[in-house]
Amino acid sequence: MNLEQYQKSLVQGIYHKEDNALELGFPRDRFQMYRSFIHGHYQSALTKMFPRLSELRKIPWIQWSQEYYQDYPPHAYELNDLAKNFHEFMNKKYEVGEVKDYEVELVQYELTEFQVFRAPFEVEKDSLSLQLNPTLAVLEFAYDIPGWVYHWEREGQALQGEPVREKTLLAIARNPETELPVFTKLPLMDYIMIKMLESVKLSEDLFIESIQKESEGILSLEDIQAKINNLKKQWIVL
Amino acid sequence: MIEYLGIGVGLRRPHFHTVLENKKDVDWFELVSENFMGFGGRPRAVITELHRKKVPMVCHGLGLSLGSSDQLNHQYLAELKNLIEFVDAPWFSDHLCLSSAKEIQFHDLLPVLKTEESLNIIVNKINQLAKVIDHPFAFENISYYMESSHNTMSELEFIQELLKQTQSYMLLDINNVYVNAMNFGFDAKEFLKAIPAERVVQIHLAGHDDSGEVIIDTHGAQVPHPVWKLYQWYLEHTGKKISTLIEWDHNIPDYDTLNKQAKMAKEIINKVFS
Ligand SMILES: [Fe+2]
Repeated sequence: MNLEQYQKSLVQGIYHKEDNALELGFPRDRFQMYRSFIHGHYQSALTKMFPRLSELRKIPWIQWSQEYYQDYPPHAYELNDLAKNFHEFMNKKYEVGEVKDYEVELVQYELTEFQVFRAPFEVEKDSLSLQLNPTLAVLEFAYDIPGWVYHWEREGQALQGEPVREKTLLAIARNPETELPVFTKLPLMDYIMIKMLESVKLSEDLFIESIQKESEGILSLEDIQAKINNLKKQWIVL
Repeated sequence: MIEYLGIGVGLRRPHFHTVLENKKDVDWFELVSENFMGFGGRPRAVITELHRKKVPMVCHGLGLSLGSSDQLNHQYLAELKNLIEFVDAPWFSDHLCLSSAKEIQFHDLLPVLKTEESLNIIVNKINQLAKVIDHPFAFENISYYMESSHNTMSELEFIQELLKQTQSYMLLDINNVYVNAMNFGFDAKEFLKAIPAERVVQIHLAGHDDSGEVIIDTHGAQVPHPVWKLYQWYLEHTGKKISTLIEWDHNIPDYDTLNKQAKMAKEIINKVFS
């Protein structure tokens, strides 16, 4: 057997459960042992990344992780990267009616929390313009996912029930002092301000001026300053 | 000549706070490369601080997949090189295994095919690696639970050839030698005697689970008595102080428990070389 055949058979046997141990020259029971080790790592990594969804849907969770394992064998060396297609996987399940739309949003919430937690924190030094936190992610939900999560976390219980259907804008950014993600539900105007900061670099004064124009004078300079201060307090703006 | 670092433990997230305060009997740390490559935040802050305090750190990876015919991944190498240079690792290591093949990850260490073809591929990869990363490299012997009937060489012959045909060093995992010797019925001491000791730059000691029909290398328990004995015998046999690391990757205990294991290794070294 050459190396090419050996590798192909390993991938087939591990991820697609082909019974090819004998072709690989391995005892069947031992090859099965490797399969279950690998699937076990995969499932526990996935459970760690989606602690709430895996509790909420305990019964299908094992089945889903098995299906996902076969449909999306990981390509990245970082074990944590294996979750990156899970949103797409759940979306497909939603399209065929196997999961609820808010469950897909919960996946997005948990995945983003995880990504923000580990994102590199690199800022422009000595910049005179307002800077967004480099770890910032902004999400748009049709449901109040953060409200649902906080409620059950405050109760000290696993997530249950359903979220309220309510359009929600959420910012997640890592506090560089505590290294923990900070969650902020955004009013529409704050969301617009963040989007503006994503596209232009402005000093604080110029930014305040252009926001005032944008709001057609509805917001006073003080209102805008208060908003910026709040975004800073929430580590969205540095 | 690679320096002797003393006794180290793996640098794990639950211990970040403790090691910055007081690393106790531990002389150096081993970083799982992939847990620090490309990461910002706390992991980067902790290694920056340890480096500032001049604590040696060695990078131990899982991602090279030496035994596969896939090309070395450039982005991976660039990030690895960056980390190795950042901590100024005295050497770096990875496993003699397939951790991926056909660009699909196993997230486990599968045994290499032990044939001439496979050997040549690994020799080439190690030589390429030396061109990209200017720090000494060591490969580690893994524990395995299946041997392909297509192999044309034993593990020992394969390792000896690799050491002959490359400049690579070896990270000798004494627990893995013990586990494989028990599972496949060979003599661990004969195996260890046949490895050129001048090429062994580091030793791994770890726990295993021997409650079933196969001994499983778990990295999730204290180093068992027979492994301590084999370690002591090896140091006496080679007469060489070798940097030693306690591996504990699952069910990670509190730092004091880990520190006690490091202390035991230190006592053995002191006894052998007193
Ligand atoms: Fe090891």
